Amino acid sequence: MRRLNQYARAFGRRELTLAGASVVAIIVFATTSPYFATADNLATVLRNSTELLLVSLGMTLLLAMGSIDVSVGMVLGLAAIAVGRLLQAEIDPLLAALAGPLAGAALGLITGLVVVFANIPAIVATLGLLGVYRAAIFLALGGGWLSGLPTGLTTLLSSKLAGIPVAALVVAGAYGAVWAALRRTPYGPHLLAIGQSEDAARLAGITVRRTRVATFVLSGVLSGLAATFYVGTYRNVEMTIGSTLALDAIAAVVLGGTSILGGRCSLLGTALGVLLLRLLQNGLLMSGVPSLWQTVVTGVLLLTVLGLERVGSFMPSVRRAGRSV
Amino acid sequence: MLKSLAVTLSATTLLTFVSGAALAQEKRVAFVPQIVGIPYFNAMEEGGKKAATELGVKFIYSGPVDTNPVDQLQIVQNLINQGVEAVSVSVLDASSIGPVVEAAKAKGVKLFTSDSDAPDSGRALYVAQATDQGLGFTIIDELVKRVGPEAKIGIVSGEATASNLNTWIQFMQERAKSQYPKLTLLAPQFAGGTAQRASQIATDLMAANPDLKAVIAVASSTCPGVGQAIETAGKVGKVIGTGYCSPNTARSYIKSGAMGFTVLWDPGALGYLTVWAGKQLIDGKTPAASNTIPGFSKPVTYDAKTGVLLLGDPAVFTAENVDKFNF
Amino acid sequence: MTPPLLVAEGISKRFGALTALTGINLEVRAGEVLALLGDNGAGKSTFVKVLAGAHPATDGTLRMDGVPVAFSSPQDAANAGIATIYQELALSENLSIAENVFLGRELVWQVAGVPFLRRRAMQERVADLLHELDAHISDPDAPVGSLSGGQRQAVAICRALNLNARLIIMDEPTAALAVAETRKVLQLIRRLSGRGCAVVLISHNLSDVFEVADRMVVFRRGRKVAERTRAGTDHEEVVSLITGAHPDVRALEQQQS
Repeated sequence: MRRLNQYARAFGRRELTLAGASVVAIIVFATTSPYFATADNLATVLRNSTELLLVSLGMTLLLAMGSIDVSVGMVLGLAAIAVGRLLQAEIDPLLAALAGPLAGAALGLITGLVVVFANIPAIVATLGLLGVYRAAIFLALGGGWLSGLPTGLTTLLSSKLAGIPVAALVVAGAYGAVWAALRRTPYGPHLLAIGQSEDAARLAGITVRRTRVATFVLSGVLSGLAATFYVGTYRNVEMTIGSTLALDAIAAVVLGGTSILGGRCSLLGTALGVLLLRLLQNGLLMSGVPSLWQTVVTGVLLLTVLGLERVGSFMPSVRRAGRSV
Repeated sequence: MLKSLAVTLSATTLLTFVSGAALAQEKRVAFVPQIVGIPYFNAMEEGGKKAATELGVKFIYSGPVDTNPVDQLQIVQNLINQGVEAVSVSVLDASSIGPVVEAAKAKGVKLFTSDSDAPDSGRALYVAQATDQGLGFTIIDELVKRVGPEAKIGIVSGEATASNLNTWIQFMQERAKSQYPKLTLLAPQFAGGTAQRASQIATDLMAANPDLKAVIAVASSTCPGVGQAIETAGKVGKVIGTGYCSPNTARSYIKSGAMGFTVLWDPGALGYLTVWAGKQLIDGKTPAASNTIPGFSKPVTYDAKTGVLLLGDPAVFTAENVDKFNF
Repeated sequence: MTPPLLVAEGISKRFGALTALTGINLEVRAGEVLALLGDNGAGKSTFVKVLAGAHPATDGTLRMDGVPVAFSSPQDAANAGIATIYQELALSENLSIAENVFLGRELVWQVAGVPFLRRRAMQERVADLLHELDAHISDPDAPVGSLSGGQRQAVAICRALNLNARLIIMDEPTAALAVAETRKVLQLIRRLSGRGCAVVLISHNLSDVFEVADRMVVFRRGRKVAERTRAGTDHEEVVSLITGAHPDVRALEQQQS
């Protein structure tokens, strides 16, 4: 019984809803387009989910901590420039690939220090940094794009290890590492305690500032890893890189059942949220729906899922309010 | 925040330029691109600078860091407030520029469009890179040469509100309808400004239509995405990518065969012509029906009725000639 | 007679011009339940905050086992063995009982420098503590958000015991509880003292106090005005001490003014 409860808790209502919605979407699109439910196309959906999934994992931790970072797209952009410049300089592709997470870590550290030590609400601080990073991208690109980059990194990421694509291994590794940090080390309960109440966490003896900065660094590493994939896939860094990424990631994470108020998160929900968003984008296009409607569908989906949950019994906001009584 | 930063950035550039100009007592011609920092508009800037030196005016180049119509209008409004004598704009949103044109008239500022027009706004004239018709027709004609008159073709555009992109698509559709009735043009898909989304859309279009023969990248920002998608899908030789792409952006894809050709014009010459037109307006002149301009091989025509000053025929870039251009 | 665990000598606390505590002297012994009584604003809460390290005293000294101590944070006090269970409970509702009990002090093993949680060991320890306190909670993995008020008190007490607290301060532990829940918490307090732990209890409910407290100290206007053992007093006398109607208190206050 207890074991059963644990499973129910691990795979909660939201995850079931999303998995169900994904299955429904796949069935519907399979009937509207004969080319949707093919192995090739579904592989494309997964490949196109890579960057968003990596960034969203970091965003999940940030939201769980009661924080947020709207500058992640620009962090991806700057890290992508680092990777691109190294590729241009004919550096070994493996080193160039590592430059992504490294640059991401450095930028995450800056973001974290600004948010935590300037003691500004994260949304305001990262909005400011968004502008700064955007200007830095502009300056770093010097008015040009990085186009037609060498193919070394592309080859590296599409190569296989024991029959499994390296890209899939890296993404699975990143997911596993974040999961383990969250569920198997003290970092997880500390993060969630901070998300629930920073004061209570401090009273419990948690080093709140250090944990918060570390989370921004971790999110930066994931965005930087996404940058490596971006450059490897598109061999291009444009001025507008990452411009909608933060909002997409927040949408996927919230869709996945992580509370935007902090204290509760689901990595599996995030993965399913990303998958559902990408399935919809792909399926609607393949079914010939004009692209403007695709954003409408995504928006309505988000509102519906959140709305349904509010109607249901599992209401985090009410539970939170109940606590102070 | 980003918006205000963008405006601040532009305002700073603006101030530097304006104070310099005031000291020199020179007449000023400004050009406001749709976005700064992309090679295409950089090349226009270069051409404009060259013209300014040769024609003895001061050139101001300032634009939004994102393709945001509101930011662009604010920049134009700032230039008008500064009393810059002639201001040209590559219009992002034709429907909202009217009030700015009025403001310019009230201040005695010559406001004209270049690169992207707002035909009914009351602007002084429009410096056209090529006719929209010429661009729309050329890309279809060139494609038919390569894939035949019965092919199925996908279209990937940028922002759904960009008037120049939409006009080109209309002319593509018109050409297909009148000349190649068996050609199938799929409904345009809009990718916004990122290569990633353009690549996803192109990939999905190819998967949804296994008989697809070509993909047209309408916005320059969608070019790398389309080229990359064709390479990644292993469709080089089966699907031809094309579009309004600069040689630098498309070079590696043209060489790999993912893109068969691209259609564009020389933005440097367009920038030059823009400043030349601004100088004419400041001097109180209207261009003649045919104008000989230094450095231009052919005379430049002006249609007084529509107010269009035309750079010339579109250029087609292929594997043979792409290395002769650098923009 | 055991030597006192904690001795407060001449503790005063001023917030700017406002004097909250004046010259408090008292002792707490191991295994004893000491109730602090007084009206709102009498200084009880301020005094326990000084004990808990939340406010430093302006004057006076604290001794633990005869050694002077100075706390600059709740963490210092906790390290010295003083734990506070706050009125607004500082538990994380979203975490499990075991996670709350060990929060900030998790048991880990290091694998290649990475600290991994020893979840089984922590669950067992918490299950033992809950059993020992007879808290009637079977699953240490249940989220604290699903527990009743009394059960949360039990979790908070487990947390304090797990930190090896020798003195536990409880501020109105029964204020928001139903009758049956209140009984449970009073039993918990008894068990704590049975284990040799000192408990400093603030409560407005005199019948609760008479049920568990060994000694009572009455505060009025920032001063200690009386100290009684349970056997040496009754309900009525304590009420008159709190309200100031008792002759001893009147005499004391006339002397001061």
